[in-house]
Amino acid sequence: MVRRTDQGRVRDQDGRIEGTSLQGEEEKLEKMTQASLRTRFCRTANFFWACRGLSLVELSLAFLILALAIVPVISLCATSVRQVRQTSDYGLAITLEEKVAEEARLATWENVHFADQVDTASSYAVGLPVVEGSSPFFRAIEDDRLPYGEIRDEVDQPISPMYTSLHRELGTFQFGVSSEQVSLTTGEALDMKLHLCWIDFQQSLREIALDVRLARRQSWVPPPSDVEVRDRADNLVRDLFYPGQSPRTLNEVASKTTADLATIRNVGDVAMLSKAFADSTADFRSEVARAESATTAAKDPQVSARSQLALGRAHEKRAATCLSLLCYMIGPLKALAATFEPAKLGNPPPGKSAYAQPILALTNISTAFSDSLGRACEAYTKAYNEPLGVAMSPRLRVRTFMKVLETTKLMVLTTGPADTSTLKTILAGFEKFHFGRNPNFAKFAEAESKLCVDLATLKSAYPAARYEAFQEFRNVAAQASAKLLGTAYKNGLSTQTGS
Amino acid sequence: MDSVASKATRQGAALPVTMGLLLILAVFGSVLRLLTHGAYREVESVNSHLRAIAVGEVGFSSIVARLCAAPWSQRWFAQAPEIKLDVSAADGTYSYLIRDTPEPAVYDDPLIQYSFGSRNQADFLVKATYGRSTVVMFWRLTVPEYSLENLAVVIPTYFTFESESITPTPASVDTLSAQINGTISSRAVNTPGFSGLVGPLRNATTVGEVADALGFDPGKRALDGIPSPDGSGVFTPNPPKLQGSRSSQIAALPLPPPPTPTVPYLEGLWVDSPVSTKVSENPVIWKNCCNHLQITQNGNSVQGTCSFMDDDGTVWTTWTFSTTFDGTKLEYKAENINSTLPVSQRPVPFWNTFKLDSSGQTLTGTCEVPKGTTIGSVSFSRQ
Repeated sequence: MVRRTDQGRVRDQDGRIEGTSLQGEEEKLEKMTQASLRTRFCRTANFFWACRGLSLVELSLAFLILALAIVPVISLCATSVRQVRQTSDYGLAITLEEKVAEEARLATWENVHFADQVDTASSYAVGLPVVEGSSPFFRAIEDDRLPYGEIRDEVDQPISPMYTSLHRELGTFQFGVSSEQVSLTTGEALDMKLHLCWIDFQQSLREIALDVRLARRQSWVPPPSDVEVRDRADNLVRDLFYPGQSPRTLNEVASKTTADLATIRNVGDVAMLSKAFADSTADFRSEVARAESATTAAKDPQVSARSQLALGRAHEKRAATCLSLLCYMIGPLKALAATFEPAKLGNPPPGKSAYAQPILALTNISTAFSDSLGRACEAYTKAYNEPLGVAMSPRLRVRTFMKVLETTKLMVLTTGPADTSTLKTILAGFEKFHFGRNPNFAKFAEAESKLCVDLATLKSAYPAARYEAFQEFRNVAAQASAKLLGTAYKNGLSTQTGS
Repeated sequence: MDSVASKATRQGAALPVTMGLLLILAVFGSVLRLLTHGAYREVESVNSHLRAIAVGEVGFSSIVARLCAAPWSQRWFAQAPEIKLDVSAADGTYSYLIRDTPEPAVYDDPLIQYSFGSRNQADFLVKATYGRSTVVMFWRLTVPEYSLENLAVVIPTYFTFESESITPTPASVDTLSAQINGTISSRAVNTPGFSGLVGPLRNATTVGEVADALGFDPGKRALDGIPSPDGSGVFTPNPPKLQGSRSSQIAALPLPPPPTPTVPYLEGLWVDSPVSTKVSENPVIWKNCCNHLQITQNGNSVQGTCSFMDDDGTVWTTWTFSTTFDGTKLEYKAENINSTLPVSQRPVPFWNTFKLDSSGQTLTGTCEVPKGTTIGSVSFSRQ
């Protein structure tokens, strides 16, 4: 096969030009051209292919480096997957712990016995599975069974296999609580440690913990405002017993008259507080009258309910004031009954007009307490029951119930009747109502029912100072007034023997 | 020469390519690490934030426990604000400030006047730190007055998260306190409008009724129900469930009437109107005197002492009585009459008959000497 060149010459099969004498030179030129082309080609496009012999080492090295680089990346990917799974478990654990922490914090507000229940419940301390309703903190989670509107353990579903992915995710989670009593500078608290552990996908045990502090509520009766600060109380006593002596202190005036300061303070506090109480009666009556007329005039059930509550609140305020006076006065009265002598009032003594009537009126305080307490309980009960109760918001109604409970308890322990059957009845109803609706209230009622099982149990659980003051007051007041007013005590009465 | 040039070219090409590959891989790895570590850090961040809140809550609970432990008048920060820094708790630290609220919001409503509107209010700011997270929380705490509840109550009347930049200083709390007073005032202004909506909303059990109560049109039909939980696919409409729950809530728990106190209302001091009485003949001295009737009662059994006492506290006449009380009527004969009054002023044995009014505050009756002869009406008021 021959073909013509561009210049009309004929080339043979090998591409050589026929009929020329410069064949050798041409071949040489051809070779040079090819070498030149190869060099240029190597320098440009087909680098890997054309230089394969020399690049193999480099490529191997490059692939080795690449491999060395990829291995950590793959390892990093694996680590990332592990981290994601761990993070997922960790996030779940945090969510679960936070749920329990929030519930515990709420429970301390809704159930004053919650801290005690946590402290004493042995089942809380053991790590129990989160699923299948084993842990008391993860019982029924959704209202999916009749009766609707109530979430009940053993009726509604816990985290069961029905919740497929949730159940699978939480399958190995276990929850437990440890607690420790803490004494603060003043007051007490309970430190809860929430422990959550689980087995992760690598079959390793993981654990996290969260600290929660629960405040414990305590009992006290506030002192009457007039004697909260001793200096202020002394000034009031000075003005009552020694008018016109300001700016001298009570101590100075008592020293001047050789009076015993402690006795002057005791008589003065009692007289001043009794007088202030009598003076406040008019305001109290007008407050009650306003509340009663508002209750009568109200057309709207909501307004009527609130007016009825305000009436209860007015009586409660009066009863609380009386209780505060009773608890405070019992100390000075006992001291006066035991150690009073007329000479201790000094020479000249304070005018009898400053303290005679207030001392005689002391028993009015206990009577007013009895009266106001009963009326407060009655007003709150009326506000709670139909038709007014249904017009209240549920939260206000629960608060009203708490007021009924507290006033009834105090009645049982002070004014009588000394019978806890009413308490048991209302607590049973409250527990039944809140069972499945608000577990904190239900548990509160359950704990209270145990405390109100009989009078002795109630007395042991209730702060004694509150009811003992009422019980002792009449006799102590009679004894003190007999000594102060120069009367002889007989059969519980102060019998005047002449002045 | 050709071979040298070629070798130099090959070295120059392979190294950059390899380095480039390494760089790409490094960037890729870093991005991957950043992404995965970012997720981890996100969870860590959430965790430390929640734990910082838990640390702050420990501070809050400690303060509440301390407030519950003693009467308000004995609070430890009465004289000056308490500021504490870096208190350790729950693996973190917290700093706080507590002080009396300078100008507590005032409530006129008698129902909440002594609870939310109590004078006993404190501002509490806590700044809690856990790891890299910091939270600042602020509470307005109220201790109710005149309450009969046997366990002390502290009401958190207001709570808010605040900016992390806030520090527990009086100046910061001043600003917050003023803002909260403003919010509480706004709440009072909004109450009437809110109250107007409460009734209709309470009775609304469907989306449409809720929309009507709020005064807008919800547009297209909203899905208002849930699939039956038994897996049958049956659609359970919502309203019957709500109504069932609501009706049981409303009808539940009527309370029995409270017990009647066994301690009677008659006990106490009763005083009648003062009369001007001549207590001495020579010199003639007139005094304003009134009867002080001191009654004690055990069940229906009533005993009393009456002191005819002047304004100066001098007792001129006394008598005693013992009788029974039927709940409204009190009738007794005065006994053991003892008097320093002039003979002409001394009372003779007499009978008193009183009725207790419905308010329990007044004993109104007559004095008869001898029995059957009324010599005057008497009215005693409880002191």
